[in-house]
Parts: sequence; C-alpha cells; structure tokens
Amino acid sequence: MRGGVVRSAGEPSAPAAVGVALLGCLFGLGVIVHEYRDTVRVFPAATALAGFLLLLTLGVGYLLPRRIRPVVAPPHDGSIACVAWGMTAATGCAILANTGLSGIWAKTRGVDFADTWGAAMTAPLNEETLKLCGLLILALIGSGVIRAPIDGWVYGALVGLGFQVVENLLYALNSILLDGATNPGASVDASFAARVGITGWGSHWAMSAVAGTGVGYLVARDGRPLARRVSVALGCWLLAMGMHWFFNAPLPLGWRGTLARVGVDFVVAMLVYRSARRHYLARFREVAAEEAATGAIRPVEAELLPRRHSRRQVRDGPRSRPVRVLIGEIEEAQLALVAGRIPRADPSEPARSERLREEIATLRAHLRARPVPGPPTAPAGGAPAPGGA
Amino acid sequence: MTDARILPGPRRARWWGPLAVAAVLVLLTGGWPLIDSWISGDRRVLAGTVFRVGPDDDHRAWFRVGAGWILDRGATTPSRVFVLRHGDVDLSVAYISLPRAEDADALWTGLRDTLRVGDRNARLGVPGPLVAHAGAQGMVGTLVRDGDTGRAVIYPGPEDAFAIRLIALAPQATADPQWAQVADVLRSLTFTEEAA
Repeated sequence: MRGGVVRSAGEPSAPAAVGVALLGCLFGLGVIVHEYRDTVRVFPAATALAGFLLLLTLGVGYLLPRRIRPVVAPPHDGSIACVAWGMTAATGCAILANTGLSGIWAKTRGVDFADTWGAAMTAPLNEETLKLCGLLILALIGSGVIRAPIDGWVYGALVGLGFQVVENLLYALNSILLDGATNPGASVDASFAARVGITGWGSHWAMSAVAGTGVGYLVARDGRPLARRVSVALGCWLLAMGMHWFFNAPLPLGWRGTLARVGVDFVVAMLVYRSARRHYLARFREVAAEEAATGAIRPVEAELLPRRHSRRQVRDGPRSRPVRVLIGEIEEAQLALVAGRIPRADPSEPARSERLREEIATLRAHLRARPVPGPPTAPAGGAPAPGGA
Repeated sequence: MTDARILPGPRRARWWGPLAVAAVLVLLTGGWPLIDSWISGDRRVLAGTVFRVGPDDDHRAWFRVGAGWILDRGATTPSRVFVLRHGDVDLSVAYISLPRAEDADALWTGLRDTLRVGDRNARLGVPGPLVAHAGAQGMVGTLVRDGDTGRAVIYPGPEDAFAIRLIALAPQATADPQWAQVADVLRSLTFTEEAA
C-alpha cells in the first residue's frame, strides 16, 4: 500500500452517502451531455481538441495538489472521487443553478445589472456550495479520508480541479459559437490559452481548496467544540465565495486587473495551505516524538519520516530486496501509526495504535534476524536502517 | 500488514448528512430555475428605443426598434445578445467576436454551422447584399429552422474586428405587416453612435 499509508475501511457502510454521490454525478453528467451534445455533434474536431487539452490539464492538475500534500499523497480512490464530483455533479448542477439565478437577476434588477454583475452575484454562491457538497459527501462516505485541514485543502483543490477542467471545455465550446463558428479550432485554442495559462492559476482549485480546509477542520476529530469547528468551516466557505466574487467582479478592469484577481486568489489559497501544512507537520512531529517512548519510532526516524525523499533514501539503500521490503513495511506502519494519531480525539485510536506498535516491533525483529551481508548499511547522508539494533 | 493500518469507516450511519447534501443540490438546481420561471421576463419596449449591443466602446453597434416589441430579459445579455419578440416573430441580435480579421470571410459558413447546433436540418440560403439605413454593408439570406422561416443578416464591423448577427424567425403563416416591422430593425443597425 505504498503511497497511501492509511486508507478508510472498504465496506459499504455509508450507502446513503454513496447513493447521493453517484446520483449527483450521474445527474450532473446528464445535464452536461444534454446541454452540449448538439455542439459536440456539429464541431467534432474542435471538441476532440478541447478534450485533449482537458486531459492534459487534468493530468498535470491531478499531480500537483497530491504532490504538495505533506508526508504522503492522499489515496487515489478519494482523489479520483473528488475530481469526478467536480467534473460531473458540481459542473452539471451549476449549469442549471447559474442559469436560474442569472435569469432572476436579469428580470428583477435589469439586463444591464445582470450583464455586469450577474457572474459575481451568481457563481460564488452556487458553485462554491456545489463543490463543497462533494467534500461533505466524501467525509460522510469515509471519515478516515479527511483527517486534518490539510486533507480538506488537497481534496478541495481536486474537486475544484475537476470543475475547472470541465468548465474550460464548456467555455471552449461556447467560444466557438460566440466567435460565430468562423474558426472553431482557433476559438478552442484561445479559450484554453486564457483559461489555463492565465486565469487557471487562481481559479476553482484555489477557491475550493480554501473551502475544503474548513471541511477538514470541521470533520477532524481534534476534540474542539462543535461551534468553533462549524464557525471555521463557514468562514472558509465564505472566504472561498469572497475569492470567487473578486475573481468574477467587473473590477478592476483590463489585463492588470485579471492578473491581480488571479494573483490574490492564488496567494490566499497558498497562505491557507501554508498554515494547514505547518499545523499538520507540527502535530506529525509531536506524535512521532511521543512514539520514541514506546520504541515504535526512534528519534532519528522521526526526523526522516515526514519527508518522502528521506524515506526513499532509507528504503532504497544498498541492501538486499527482502531487507528493503521490510524497511518499507516498517515505514508504512510508522506512518499509519502517526496518521492515526493526528486527530486528538479519535476513540478508535488507542487500540489501533497499540496493534501498530506491535506490528512495528515484529517487523524490526524480522529485520534484525536477517543476515547482514557486508559493511554498515546506512545510505548516503547517514540515514540509519529502521531495524538496526 | 495488519488491519490496524486501515482506518475506520463512517462514525455511524448518518442518514441526515447525505439527505442534507441532497437537499442543497435540489434547492440550488431546482429552486433557482423554479423561481426564475415564476417571474415574467417580458418587458414592452417603447417605440424608437435604441439598444447598444457589444462588450465595450471599441466593439459595439446600435439598433432601433419600432412599436410593439417585447424584450426577453431572461435571454438578453447586452454585451452579447438581445432577444426580442414582435407578435409571432422572434428576433435575436448577437455580437460575434472575431479573433482574426480574416475570419470575417467565414461568417456565413460559420452561421450555417451555428444554426445546425439548434436544428440539424436547419437550412440557410445563399447570402445576398444588404445595406443598412445608415450605410453599413451586410449580407442577408433566407432561413428555415425548427419549422419556422425567416431571415438571417450579418454585418461585419469596422475593420472586421467583430460582427453583428441578426436572426428573425416566425411561423410560415406570419402576416406581412409584422415582417415589415422586422425589416426596419434589420436595417436600423449602425456602428456609429451619431447615426443611432
């Protein structure tokens, strides 16, 4: 299970949440297909180009937030579920919700107001809420998936990524018609260049990451009062809506204004990331240090454990393959031990942690029992083998 | 590996959590469109009203409507499109952005493709010349779509930086006086504010 240190239970113990997730995704996909199938039929080549660009941005976008998650990347199943929700349920539902609310603005406040302010008064509420629903569903499906605010940030960014790439595709198809279908390929290229190259840096992924951090704070079992957790989650959701409003608002004007909007949203998202990362790593090191007393994680291992590169160095040193496998197993068990203890008030934690400590002790014994073929096995940099006695 | 590395599932069966999320989804996707449908989008327009279509001061055009026109506010976005109705005739006046000036040569074939999005059997006739009251040079052709007949007009803007597309459609038995009103609007288009 390398790459996914801990995983949530696989039993389908939340059928209602899974049902809502599946229905939401199917419904959203149906709306998108219904709305755009005729455009796709008439412009198949341009659609294929847009689809290729979508896959390209999706591939790169999927790697980034998972890579910057401290210690380990989140499991693929949760990550893919988030992207799928953003691509289908959130986007499809947003088409209907935005059309409805935009119409209300145009009819009650006038067409000029709706033209100028409609996007800023419509998209933040609808889209940030619909994307957030995906994270809440994920938390309801498996409470072990989101265990800290940083998990909420990463999964939120992935929901936003899914939304963003499909929105890019739909905007590209719309741009063909707005350009009078005079040069569909060029319309798609120009739309993607603007939305991926410029605005993409501070768009949906950033807003959803901020809102997701609040969900991470809300569902993490840290023993904080419910009122405080709800307040922080609401605050993050409102901040995400504020970022979205600023992104869509018709001021400031011009390309400098666009860059300013993108830049502000990017900086806000990264500041929230920095804070969530710092708190997560502090708690990680605190738990790892506490485990020195139990012998499960030695002080020198605690130093190396949070860093992917250091773990890989220890694991992949000049040793026989069985030894490397054993070292990898010890690392995985240690990471699971720390990850399980990150929430401060998880009632299932003490028993699980005790079993993990026993597992680590057993693995160390196996490692010590293996013959040492030659000189000391510490890799470059001096990282010791976890089983070395 | 032991089961200890597998984190527990949901804390307890929470029916209200998924229900609340589903309620939010229904509220947003069904609620706004429902309220929107309750509000009438029609607004009667005064005879002689001049509308400006286009996103900014460098990319815009004006057109004038006579008596009896109704503006569909729900479908109108002044920077992009106006949707109006006069009796049985539906009229849309849309701004078309042209990424490159040479794309103006493809305006009519592009219009044919655009119409096929709404109706795969839509038919657009061969374009003929049309000169607006204020002198703008455009092209006009007959159009059949979704069982309705009408006319499509395209006026390329100054220096082919953009274009304005007007489409009027009505059931086949629509009376001539209504078409006369439409013809006035189609030829009222101008790219200069003074002429508007």
